[in-house]
Amino acid sequence: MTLSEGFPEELPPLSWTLTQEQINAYAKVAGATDPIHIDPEFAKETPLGGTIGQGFLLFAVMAEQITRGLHHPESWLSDGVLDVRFRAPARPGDRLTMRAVQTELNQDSGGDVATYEVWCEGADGQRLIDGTTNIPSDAFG
Amino acid sequence: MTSKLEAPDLTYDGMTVGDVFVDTSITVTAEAIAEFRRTIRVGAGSLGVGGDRFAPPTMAAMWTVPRVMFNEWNVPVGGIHARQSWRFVKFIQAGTELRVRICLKEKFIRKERPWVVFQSRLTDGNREEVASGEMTLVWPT
Repeated sequence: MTLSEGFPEELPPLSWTLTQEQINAYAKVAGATDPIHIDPEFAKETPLGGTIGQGFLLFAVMAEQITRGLHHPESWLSDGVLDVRFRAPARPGDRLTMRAVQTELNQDSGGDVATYEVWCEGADGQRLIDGTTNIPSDAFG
Repeated sequence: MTSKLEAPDLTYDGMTVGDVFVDTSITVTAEAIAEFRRTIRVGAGSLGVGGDRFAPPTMAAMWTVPRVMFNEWNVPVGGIHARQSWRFVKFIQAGTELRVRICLKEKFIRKERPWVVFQSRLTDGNREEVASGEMTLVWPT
C-alpha cells in the first residue's frame, strides 16, 4: 500500500465469485424470502431474467473488505458511516471485486479523517454499487 | 414477533411519513453471529473484529428491514433496493438485546415510480444508540 499522510491510498481489494448457494444462505440467515433472490424459476420470468444477490449481502461483504484493510477497525466501527447506491444487480456466477480508494483528507474534532470512495465492480469493470465512507486516522495507527 | 401468516399488508398508499412499523427487541446470539459470518465470508481474510464474540459490521442492518420488517409485514415482492446508509456507533456483542425501531422517513414519486425511505435505529439495554441507517427502496408496483 502506498501511504498518503498516514492513510493508504487504497485498501486491499477483495474478489470472489457470487454463488446461488451464498445468496440462499444469506436469505436463510436474514429471513429474506423475496423470490427474486432464491427462486430461479420465478426470477427467470421477471425483467431481470434470473436471480440476483441481496443488496444487504453485498453491503456486508463491502464492510468486511473495509474492516480487513484497517489496523484498528474499531475506530471506524465506533464512528463511521457507509453510504452506497445500488446501480446494477449482481448475479450468481459473477466475479465481483470490492474496492476502496482514498479521495479526500479532512480534519474534524477527533483528528484526521479520510474519505474513501468504495465500490463493487463486476469482471468487466462495471460498477454495481458505489458510495463513500469516512475513516479516521486511528484506524490505521 | 408476528408470524408472516398473520402479518398485515403494507402498501405505499397506506404508509404515512412518521409511521413506526417495527418497535421490537431481539437478542443477538453467538450462534447467529457465527452463521452470519459464515454467510458473508469470502476469500481467506481474517474473522474480523473479535471473532464470533462481536457481530460483523453490518449484521445489525440485517435485523432492520429484511429480517424484522419484512417478517412483521406483508410487503409485496419486486422492490428495488436503491440506496443504503449505515452508521456504526458501538460494537454489538453476543448476548446483547437490541431494540429495533423502524419508521418511514420519506415517501415520494420520482419518474412516475413510488419511492420510500425507511429509517432504522438500534439501541441497547442502556438505551444507547448502537447503529442507525436508512434504506431507500423503489416500492414494488
